Amino acid sequence: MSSKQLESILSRVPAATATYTTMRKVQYPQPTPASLPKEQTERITAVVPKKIKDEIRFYLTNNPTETERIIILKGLKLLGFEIEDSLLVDKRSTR
Amino acid sequence: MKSKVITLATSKGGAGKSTLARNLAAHWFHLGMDVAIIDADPQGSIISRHDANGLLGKMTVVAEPEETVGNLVAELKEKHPIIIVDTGGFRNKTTIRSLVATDLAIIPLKPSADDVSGALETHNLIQEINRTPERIQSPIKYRMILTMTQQGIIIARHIRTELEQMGFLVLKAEMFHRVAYPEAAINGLSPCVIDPEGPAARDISTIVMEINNSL
Repeated sequence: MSSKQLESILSRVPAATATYTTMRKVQYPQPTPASLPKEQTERITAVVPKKIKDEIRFYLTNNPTETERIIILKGLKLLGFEIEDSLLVDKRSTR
Repeated sequence: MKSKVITLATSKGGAGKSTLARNLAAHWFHLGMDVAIIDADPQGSIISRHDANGLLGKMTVVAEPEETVGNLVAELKEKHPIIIVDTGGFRNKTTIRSLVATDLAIIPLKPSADDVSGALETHNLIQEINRTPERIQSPIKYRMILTMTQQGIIIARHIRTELEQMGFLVLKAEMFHRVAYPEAAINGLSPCVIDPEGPAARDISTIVMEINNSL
């Protein structure tokens, strides 16, 4: 239990660390669909054995609604990465 | 023997708090004293470099950057004759709690205007704490100390003279700028244990003698 004077001094300075009690949840404005920023993307390239590339081609021939990108994302999802289902759709046909 | 608590504090970062804290502790540890360091600086410079298997491995080093540091001081006082508290380089609740629990505050400052401002701000904070019921009966003692000074440099002498003329208590001993400190700090060590006869260890020994007289 601290005196009022000491509490007064303490109240004027911040905690040394950002603890759960001192952190305030920031309410960010929710963007409207019209103002949603375009999703940022990065390119990844992988060199794979020709045999695998041939198998991918064969798979895509039998699954025309999928792409190489979807195959990779599906594989990542199986590994536990958080991949939204909306990314597992070939959007080229909807443009 | 009543244990003593020494807190290194200044609201200016980079003034040499952690370096001095580590070296004071190493000096006493090298003399066979059961010294403890509380790393109350959220930056954790001391705890992060401390090697439990190294030459200072048996020294008690505890990180406590939270406001509960006062409880830890009370706990360690039961076992350790000397407790050194290193604080963060900004005004914060943990530093205030450490100062409330301390016997002697050491305020390090480099010979620079910003460091002098930080030291004066910390001095004012100590005076303010000394007016609270917690410390009005036994005011916190303090000493300023010039750090990272070089012999023959006029600005350090000027700052010392100015501070002393204004009535501030400044240790005669200084922590001179020596590469031995950062070199030893790479492994969380101190010249006091790896080169106890060297000039840096002698500087620390001189500082400790003055601190002992101030406690």
